Amino acid sequence: MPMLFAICYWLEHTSIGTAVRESTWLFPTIETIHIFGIILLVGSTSILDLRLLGWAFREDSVSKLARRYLPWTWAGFVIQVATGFLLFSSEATKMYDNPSFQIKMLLIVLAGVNAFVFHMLAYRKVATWDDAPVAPLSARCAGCFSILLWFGIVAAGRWIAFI
Amino acid sequence: MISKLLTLAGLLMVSLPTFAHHGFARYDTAKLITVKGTVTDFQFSNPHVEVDFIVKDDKGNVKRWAGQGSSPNMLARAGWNKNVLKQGDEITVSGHPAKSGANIMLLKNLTLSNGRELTPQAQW
Repeated sequence: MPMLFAICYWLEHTSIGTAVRESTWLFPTIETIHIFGIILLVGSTSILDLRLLGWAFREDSVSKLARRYLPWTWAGFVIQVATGFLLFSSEATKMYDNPSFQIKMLLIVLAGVNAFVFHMLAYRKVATWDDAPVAPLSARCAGCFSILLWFGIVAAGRWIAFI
Repeated sequence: MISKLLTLAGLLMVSLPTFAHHGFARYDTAKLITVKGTVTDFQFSNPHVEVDFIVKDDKGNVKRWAGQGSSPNMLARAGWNKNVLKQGDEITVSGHPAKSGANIMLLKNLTLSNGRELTPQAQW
């Protein structure tokens, strides 16, 4: 673990980490973009999640929604990783033992695993249930987990500052 | 390089009385205390500026303190920058102490030994 802390310490003292930490405008600007990024990421992925749950967009096929919105989800993800990394670099040693940050990272990994499992299993056979208003159980579960996990990620992210 | 970092990391892990982050609610704003101390570290950092200092009492006991300020952006408008304080500076600090009794405070006013006064009050 101290190795990980050493990496955090190193990162925090790179010119990038220092610039973000000591800036008057960079930090709040990156934070603002980070919020727009989460709108893009969670908004687009929630469309698919709600469709999988059968709560919305039932008249559209699942594959059509996935084709249309997954690129936006990925764009949001790239923005989040980039801006999140910059924010992290500015206060890495504080994040190292921040429980809310740790929970957030864990939930992001779980959201990734959930999406991966969905694409490997249920979505492989999407042709057989593409237009069904209610998706198969495993797909509904994936949609449900996704919404709950992203809810948790946003909440944990916000709580980093208050714990 | 790595071993140096590890040593440094070890030292830092047993560090100062400090605050995680935001949360001005932890301070008792009805109380204002003033102490004299010596700066041990000054971080002009987002999201909150921090001044670490030591205070000696009459018996020579040394206590570590940490003072929390607002953001670099607000303090910059009040005339602060990352060079306004340095290790070893003698300061008189006023602030709202933590409700918990920990040696941390919300900075209200900071005066250097040369008379220069630093306030967290941003000017537009």
